Amino acid sequence: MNRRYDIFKTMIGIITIGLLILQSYGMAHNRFSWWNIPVSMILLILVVKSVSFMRGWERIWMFVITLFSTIPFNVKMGVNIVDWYFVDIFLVTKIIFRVIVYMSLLSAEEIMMCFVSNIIWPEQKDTFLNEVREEEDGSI
Amino acid sequence: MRGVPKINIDGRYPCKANWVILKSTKNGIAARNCLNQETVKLTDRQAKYLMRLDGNRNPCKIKGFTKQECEEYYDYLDSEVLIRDEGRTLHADGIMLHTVYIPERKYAGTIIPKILNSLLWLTFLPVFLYGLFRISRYDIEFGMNCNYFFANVITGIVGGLLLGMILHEVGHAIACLANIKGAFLEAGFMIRGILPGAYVMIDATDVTNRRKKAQIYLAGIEVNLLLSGLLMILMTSVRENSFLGEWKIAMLYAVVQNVILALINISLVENFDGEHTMRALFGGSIVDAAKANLKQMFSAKKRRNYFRKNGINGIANICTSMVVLVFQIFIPLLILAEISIFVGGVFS
Repeated sequence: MNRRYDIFKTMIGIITIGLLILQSYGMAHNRFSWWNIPVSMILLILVVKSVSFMRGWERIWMFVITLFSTIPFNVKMGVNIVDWYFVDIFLVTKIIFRVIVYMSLLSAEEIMMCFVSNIIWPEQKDTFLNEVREEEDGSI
Repeated sequence: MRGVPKINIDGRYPCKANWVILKSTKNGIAARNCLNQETVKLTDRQAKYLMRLDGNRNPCKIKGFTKQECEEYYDYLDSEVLIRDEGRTLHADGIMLHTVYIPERKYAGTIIPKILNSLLWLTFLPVFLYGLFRISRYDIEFGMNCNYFFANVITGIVGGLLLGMILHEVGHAIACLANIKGAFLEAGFMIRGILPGAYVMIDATDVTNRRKKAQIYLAGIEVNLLLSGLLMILMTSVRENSFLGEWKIAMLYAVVQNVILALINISLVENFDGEHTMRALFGGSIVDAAKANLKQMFSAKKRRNYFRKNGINGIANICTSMVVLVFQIFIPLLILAEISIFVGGVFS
């Protein structure tokens, strides 16, 4: 019973991620609407909340899902911003600046989602820092 | 130990460094060096000796200490960078720091920083977004034939950058002082390689709330976005024939400089504000954690153990680690972009 329930919740999570990516794609290709941002955030929180194995690891999974779900939006914003700011430059320069803008936008989104996950789930049992802490303890 | 004993960094003799915070603990005195983030244990005698170094006393002739003690303690404290003997200009790791201001009190005594900080984090995003809205809504005529075009460009770029950098650091200082356990140690100008900048030395180690600590590191970016928003609103509000109307191009360039400053600082590059923010939210250095996690992938045995311990969540750890390390190429990429602009300009 628990296994079926977990699989069902995982399926809901995957469908919600799909909706999130669709949302991001919609924002990239249609007229930008501000309400899309809170809806995307709510969808993201729903994904993380609904999948069982993410319990206690919400912060790290928010990071990973944000990374993938914002790809269409960040790519479109990178292209638009660079095309607006640099009217006529080398193609290679344009591509490099698009990557830079992409990385900056991604950083801002990751920080924002990390803040949100800290508010909703302050207690985490994720082991992201475990290896470095073991290294530090071993070297003392 | 709150407050700063009166030290004279312009004095004839070396003095106790203002970036040192002394705390009494069960095991003695802990001297936290906020310059290199290390904590050193001192004996009571060593701490007393350090407190006596105010820049006006000869460190070899401190009352109550023998000559041998003075020499021994001075050498030890100097090796731990707890003594300031270079005056106002310091050299550390290829960076030149020139101190302009050392506050008399490390910790805020009033509620003003708290009010300013609250205003900052509440208003920066609405003001920035409203500025963007106004830019998109209203047509701005810049008047390319205006009399002061060249002056506008220089003022916008240089002035915008200078103002942005200074206010960025002021933001960090205010956010730190808004917390009762945050210390503001000094402020000044620096040169990193050939690049000038401003800096503030703050200590947020005792701020235990992760979100408040993260907000201290984000405060600089918040100020840059707030300034950009205010300039965008001003740019779309001034009348064409007014005095400020002649300086719209300068405002536009200043907005761009501040947005670029914010975008660069928010990246997850080590020692940038974005990485410091994530460090505060995660509770440790994400770059070091990423390197340690990826090291486990190089050997089959370590890899097996890693996924046995972490299960499917180990995949999230590895994914995050890879992204964090990819971010470290941000600055080389920026330099490459600048070079390609130059190369493009030469060949076109």
